[in-house]
Amino acid sequence: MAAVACKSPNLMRGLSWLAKRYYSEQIFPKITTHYSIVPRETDPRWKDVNMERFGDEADVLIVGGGPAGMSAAIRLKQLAQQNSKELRVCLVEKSAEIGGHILSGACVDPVALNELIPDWKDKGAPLNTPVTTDRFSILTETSRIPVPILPGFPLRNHGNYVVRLGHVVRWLGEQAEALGVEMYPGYAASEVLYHEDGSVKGVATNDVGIAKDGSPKDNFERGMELLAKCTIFAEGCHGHLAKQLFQKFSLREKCEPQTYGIGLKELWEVDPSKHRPGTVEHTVGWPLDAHTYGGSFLYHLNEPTPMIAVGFAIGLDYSNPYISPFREFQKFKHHPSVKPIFEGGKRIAYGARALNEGGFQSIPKLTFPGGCLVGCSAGFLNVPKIKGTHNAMKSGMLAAESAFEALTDENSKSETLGLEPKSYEDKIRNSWVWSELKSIRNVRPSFHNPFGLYGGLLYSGITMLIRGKEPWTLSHGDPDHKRLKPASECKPIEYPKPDGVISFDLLTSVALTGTNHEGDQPPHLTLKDDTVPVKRNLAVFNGPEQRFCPAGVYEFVPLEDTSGQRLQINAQNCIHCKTCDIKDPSQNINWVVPEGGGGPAYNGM
Amino acid sequence: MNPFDEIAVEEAVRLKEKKIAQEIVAVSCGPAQSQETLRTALAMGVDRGIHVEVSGPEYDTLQPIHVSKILAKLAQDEKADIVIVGKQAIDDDSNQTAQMTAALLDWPQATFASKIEKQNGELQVTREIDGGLETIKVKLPAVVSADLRLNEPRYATLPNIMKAKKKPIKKVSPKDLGVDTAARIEVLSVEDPPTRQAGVILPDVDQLIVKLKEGGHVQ
Repeated sequence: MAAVACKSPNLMRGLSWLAKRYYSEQIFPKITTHYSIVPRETDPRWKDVNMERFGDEADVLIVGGGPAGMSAAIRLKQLAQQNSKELRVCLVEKSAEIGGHILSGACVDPVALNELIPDWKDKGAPLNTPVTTDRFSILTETSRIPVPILPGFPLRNHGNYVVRLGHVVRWLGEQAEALGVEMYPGYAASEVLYHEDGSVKGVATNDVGIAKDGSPKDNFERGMELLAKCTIFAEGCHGHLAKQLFQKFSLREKCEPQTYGIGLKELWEVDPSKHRPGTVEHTVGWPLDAHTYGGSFLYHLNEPTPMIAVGFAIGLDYSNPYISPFREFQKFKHHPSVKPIFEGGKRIAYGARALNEGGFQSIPKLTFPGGCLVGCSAGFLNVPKIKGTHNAMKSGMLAAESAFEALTDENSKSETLGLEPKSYEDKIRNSWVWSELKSIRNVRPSFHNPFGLYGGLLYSGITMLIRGKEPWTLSHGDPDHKRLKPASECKPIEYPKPDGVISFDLLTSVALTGTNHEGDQPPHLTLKDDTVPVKRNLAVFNGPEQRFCPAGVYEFVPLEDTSGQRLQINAQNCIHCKTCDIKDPSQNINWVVPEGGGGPAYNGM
Repeated sequence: MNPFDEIAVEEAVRLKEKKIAQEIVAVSCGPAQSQETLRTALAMGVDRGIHVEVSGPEYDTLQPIHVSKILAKLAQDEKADIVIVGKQAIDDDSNQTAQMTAALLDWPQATFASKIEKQNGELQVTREIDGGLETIKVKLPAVVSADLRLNEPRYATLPNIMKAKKKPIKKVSPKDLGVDTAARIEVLSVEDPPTRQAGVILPDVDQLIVKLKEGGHVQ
């Protein structure tokens, strides 16, 4: 092309004129109808609709029913009981059932649970699988190289438990309810509400009864305003309300942008002769190349049936837009040392979720007038330990203690109507969460070196041995969405076809998530500009969203009249993983919450 | 809540709003989680709930005949004028409860209702049948089962769920109602449907005939 350009500028001019005409005639069908992009205030269809909302006030409102949110709720009620105070604690969760949107490996360090509910074993907490065997290996295409796990390494799992985190969260929910926490699953917090002085007043739950084209249906009902003196946001990785709070209160001014990974997971029932409960296996290397961060996990659970949890995580800082995390996962299962465990087995579940990898460098300011952030909403996952649940729970507990102080201290005078749990940030800095994350802060960024995986493993080994005492802190560099190279600079990847026995196609897998949404509602994957997916994402990056979405939401389909393509959003497939909001190179996709109760129906994932 | 039951609850609430019905009682048979289902019904506008507690192995073998006996007893105790249920449950697809309840009570039944009107102390019900729509008149008291197009249920909004926490739910057991829940049907096996065979693209009609003869589909 460049040679032609040099030889005939006329030809180039002619071609670019053709391109301009082609685009302007191309149809860019309207995709986004959600009111966050198409405001209702100026929409004639909404002129006569009553937009009043019913409100109710609690002392503390917790947004999100995961480990962090539940721990905060339980801790608040414990403190209220100990100090003979009455405290109304409400918790909203978008999943239809508590635990329905929870997905994690998971190998949990019980340190936080031991502090929160010391007699968890008597109370029947589903931590049934103590870790007995721990293995770490580097995979090549045909072989497996074991790497010894020395004592003191964060990856050592002695004393930890393999769990089905969805069941643990469900159990935490039962404990919270027993203590008197008001829980409202099936209701999504869709909007943050503010006092006149700019502090957070609470949230509003989603409106229901809006049709796909954005107009009100007969059964339109406004959401409810849940107000509180202090609101704790526990939405998990890349929460959509947390995204707004970062902007509004400039919470990320002094920290690095968060970096992420995507984790995909399956549950299998395997041949009993191959099942060894308590076995924990991690690998790095194949099928990823040396410059793509990621690896697998395989845990044998101690459940009534011979069950294993297997999964794959890929850092979302990958640069080749042809990478499909889902297909890398399916490819991994065919490795000669991994394949045997699946033979004779049956896959019973699938799911995916984004996870935080930024660690220490990416922790934002945690409090703001009216509330604070806990758990993965802030980002406390320990990457080399591959654990975040214990830090999430501890942060929830500390936030609860701080909020309790702010609520009950008669001497403190708050400058704003919404109370800011000011001591929370100090509590975190003085806790083991902080020191743990600080000691491994250089592990993840060390993988951005010319030797990729091998340089990273070498540096990580050293920094973990000296407990992170080196005086420097490595930076993560560019945020994930800026890391994609144009498709023209990268090689397309030929993935093997799924065999239907060990590896599967995407749509069969999505069916296993049990995901469902009310069909007649505006797509909740909103685009700031409907033309960008074809004009930029497809043109420059060959449409990476059709590959990184683990649920097949994004498809480029041919237009009916002209040659060319349009983006089709299958919003009903969405499993709420948030990867698209993170990895879109144009940052054009804004994930908002759909009608509550929709989304995946994970059972003990 | 079973989608057809949700439609039944919605119809009951509409009858109350039209002042045809005075009080609505919702009944659910099952373990502790059934209370959540009742709360949704209460949030939609039902006045009170009755939870017939059946859990564990007893719940695994709970069958339409037991539910029908329970509903029949409760209908008599509560002096109900209409028993309205969903036409079938989406887990077992039995489509038997409405019919058996009516038989036990010796009441008329109007099943697969897509429209219900009250006229002169009788119910005029339009039913969805294979050939189209059938309109019948039934004397009260009667049993009605709701079909898909009867209405579109309202959302149970959060303020209503909060208010519903104050509405009463009475707990009873099948024994209190004199119903024996011993299983009458034994499930022998449950299997996935056979995996679909891949299709084959044939080049011409002659090949098609050969294949049909091979498969024994054609002499």
